Amino acid sequence: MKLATRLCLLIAGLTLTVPGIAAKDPNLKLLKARQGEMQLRAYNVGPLFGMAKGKMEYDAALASKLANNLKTQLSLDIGGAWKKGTDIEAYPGKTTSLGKIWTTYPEISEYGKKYAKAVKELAAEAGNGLDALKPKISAVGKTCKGCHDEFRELN
Amino acid sequence: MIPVLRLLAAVSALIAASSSGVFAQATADVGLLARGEYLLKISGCTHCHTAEGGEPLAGGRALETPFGTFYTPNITAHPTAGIGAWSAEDFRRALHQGLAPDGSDYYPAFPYTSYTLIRADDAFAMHTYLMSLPASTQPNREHELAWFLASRLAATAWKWLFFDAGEIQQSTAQSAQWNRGAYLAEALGHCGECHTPRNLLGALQTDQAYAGNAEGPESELVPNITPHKDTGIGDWSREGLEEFLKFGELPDGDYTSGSMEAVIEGVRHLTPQDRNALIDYLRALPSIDNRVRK
Repeated sequence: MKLATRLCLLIAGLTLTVPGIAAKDPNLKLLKARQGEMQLRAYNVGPLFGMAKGKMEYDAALASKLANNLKTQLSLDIGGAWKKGTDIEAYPGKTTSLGKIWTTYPEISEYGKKYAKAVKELAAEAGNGLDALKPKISAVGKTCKGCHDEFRELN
Repeated sequence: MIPVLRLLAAVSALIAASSSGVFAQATADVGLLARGEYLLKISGCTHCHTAEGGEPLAGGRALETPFGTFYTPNITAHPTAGIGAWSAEDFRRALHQGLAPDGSDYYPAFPYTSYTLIRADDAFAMHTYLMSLPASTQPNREHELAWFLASRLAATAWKWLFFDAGEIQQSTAQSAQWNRGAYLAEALGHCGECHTPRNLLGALQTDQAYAGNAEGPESELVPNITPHKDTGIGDWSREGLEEFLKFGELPDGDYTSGSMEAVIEGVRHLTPQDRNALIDYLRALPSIDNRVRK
């Protein structure tokens, strides 16, 4: 009986505590939102690089669709998820965003503009053959790296 | 009858050529060219010596460094614009000693600090292949360097301080596979030129070999590729490393970009044996805990 009572108390405690912690820190949802947005970019970019690097066969319709997905994504405004104080120092292990994003703001916006320009050019060319896709996806990748090098913890 | 006679004549000529050594020589040359092509690709020569959208190996790529901007030269077979007038020995001396045919010193933006390790017979194959390619008339562009580096004497002083010439030596304590991997990483691939941090004078910090570099080419972050679990590639699977060297694909499904994307364009040509040797060598490096950050 003693063991059963303790188990019940433990389960009850966990049930109450875990959502309690999450509810106390709404910033965790912000981290997930921006990570989700990045994952969506990666979902679209991955096969485009795969085609450009010869890992998968070039498919004009798919390339065009994915590139246009990226372009559509540009219109999403999730600026609210990039709240000051939600950096790697405050949330180690939960985000790789460096505090520099906020301390040097609006520097990061310039990187965003370069990315948006590269994505629009990619969307215009991705369906026009492998030779058209290659330099455009490479240019997009370069803008991603440029921003990650500055504002994201490596590894 | 005529085609049969022609065939007989051709076979006779082939036998005669073979017995006189001409045929054997031609076969050897084809082998030498193929070897030179392979070495040139995996050594990254094409990447650095080709400007974006420019003629292959005609130079003009800007290498931005903390010391200024270097413009890579034309290394096609053109006799004046390129290196067509160089002998094979001139070429070997450039790789091995960082010396131009006129005896002046090259700046270490040309990675002779690694290429000095290349075997002389491989240097010969690379030169032979280069000379077989189309020549470009594209003129070389002057470097734009800090005032104190404007004279080549700066390169001479740098070499005196930091450069030791000499081909790679086989380690008898290690396997043939490890030795091949070392040759690929240290000499041909010159991986350390970017992945090893440099001191204030631009010399490699060899006690931090392959531990990553916050001041890579074009100000890029260059990751730690030692087998450290948290900050290096210690948690990458062998298959992950293979995929990376073939396609530039990272373990999380993303792809490498920037300078390394261009490097992959070369190393993707590695034979499976060489790729395995390179992976084995990298995985056997001393593990260094170094998180690269600007």
